Amino acid sequence: MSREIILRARRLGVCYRRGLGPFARPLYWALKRVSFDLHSGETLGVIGRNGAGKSTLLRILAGIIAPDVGELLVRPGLRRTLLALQAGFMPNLTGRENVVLSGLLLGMARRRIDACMDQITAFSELAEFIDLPIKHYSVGMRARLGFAVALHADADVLLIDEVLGVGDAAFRAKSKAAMRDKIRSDKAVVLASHEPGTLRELCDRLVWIESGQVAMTGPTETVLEAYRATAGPSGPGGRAREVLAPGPAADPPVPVHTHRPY
Amino acid sequence: MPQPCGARVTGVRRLMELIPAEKSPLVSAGLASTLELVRYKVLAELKAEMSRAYLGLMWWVAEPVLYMATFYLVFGVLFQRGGPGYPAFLICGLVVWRWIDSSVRTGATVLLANQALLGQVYVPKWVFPLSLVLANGVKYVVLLVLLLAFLGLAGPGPQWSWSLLPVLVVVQLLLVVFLAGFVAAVVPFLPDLTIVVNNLMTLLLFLSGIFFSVDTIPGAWQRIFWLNPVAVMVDAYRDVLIEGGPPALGRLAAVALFAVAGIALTGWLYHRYDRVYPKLVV
Repeated sequence: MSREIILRARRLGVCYRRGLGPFARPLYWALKRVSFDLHSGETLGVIGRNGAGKSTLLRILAGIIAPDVGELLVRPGLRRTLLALQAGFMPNLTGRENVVLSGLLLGMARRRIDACMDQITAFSELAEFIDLPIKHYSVGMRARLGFAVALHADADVLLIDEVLGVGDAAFRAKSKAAMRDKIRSDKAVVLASHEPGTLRELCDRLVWIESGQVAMTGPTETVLEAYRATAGPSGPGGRAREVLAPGPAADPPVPVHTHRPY
Repeated sequence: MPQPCGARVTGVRRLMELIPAEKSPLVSAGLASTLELVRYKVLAELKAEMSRAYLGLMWWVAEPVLYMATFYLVFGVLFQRGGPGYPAFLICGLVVWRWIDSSVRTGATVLLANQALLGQVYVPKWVFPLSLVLANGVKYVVLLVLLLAFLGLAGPGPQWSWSLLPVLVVVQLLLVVFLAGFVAAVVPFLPDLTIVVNNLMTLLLFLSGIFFSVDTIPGAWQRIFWLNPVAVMVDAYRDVLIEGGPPALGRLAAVALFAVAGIALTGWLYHRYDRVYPKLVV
């Protein structure tokens, strides 16, 4: 398999703040110096505890926010989409209208949405309700529709944050299977999760993020072992450990500065 | 899948083909697909609004009529302002004002209201104020048609000058796009400004000659009065719709230029802070 680098993160850092210019008040650094490469066709897992910075990282990769420091390099024209569920849903619009709205927000072309409409409706199992305003839907029905749209989003790099399946047991199994198929296709995928099982099954490599820094990059098993070692019964270690894996690190190993007062 | 050490060399060679992400457009079809999003959002917002209340579409008309009736009761009936032409004069001003007022007030909070969505997907931020202004514009055109019917029946009657109306609507569109777009771009950085914007709009309502004619203010103040683009717009509509003549073209052109310059500045703000808005913690 050709392993062309299609995306490269170089020492990304993100600071959440209030206001700007004279009104700026920095709150905290969600990411500090995160570096890794993404190759074509690969599924890269991002593991880390809640609040480690996984979602922030996916937002940078999706182009939703710009890093405050560091640099994100991509192959020209590389389309990246974060699979956001129910993005832009409006309660007073029908299911069909919300599919179009959400699809457009996910970067799908109108023609493609129209072409996929029947598939999306069928997948969500909402054919008889699709022309009803979604305010009449149950929470589960809305989740199914949101998932069905996101599943049909098309991009060169799919960015997935935790959610692999939604709905009741039957639909959950079906949606998980569909998402797995999509992940296993030859698209590049970045999958953030704190579930070792999911990551082991789907990912070629892992980036482990701890307190906004890369604790380790490498083959899935190696990283998972180290991750489990810190997240033992006594609770995960509060500090990122300086672990360097024998993975294809693009940059020289990134030193971890826990003391750096960002 | 681990790579042999030699892969590092390939990586370096390949790196030459990578470009900074901000120079690579995210939306595949570019502007066309963003404009399709704006179009669809406008329709969606109008439809959602129609189905929100039981009487739906009727409120597009009934609500402004109630609004205008309030002002007519106060200024026309209680204060006994103006002569027999006062209702037409007042209603014309209020109709023009509504598109500006509703768009700027809602525009101030439009990005804050969509904060969750901004964190979920990449959308050029100007999509939100623009679709708001256009949706309000559709409602404005409905009101304008009713105003013409009112003037045709109860006012001076249809006149040739009414054919200039599209010019006024376009200039006003530019002005509203600028004002609403500008406040939408600035307020997220300091949400407290919402209160300032709302009070400025109330001040503007009273300073734009909606209730009074410019002839009733002292000459020295008139020069300053005409610096207010909203006052120019209101006056231009009255010239065309009620007086049956052309608007003051010089002043109207100045407003158009002012609006275009403002849109350019606002466009720069959106370009500069496009990926900063989702990061703001309000």
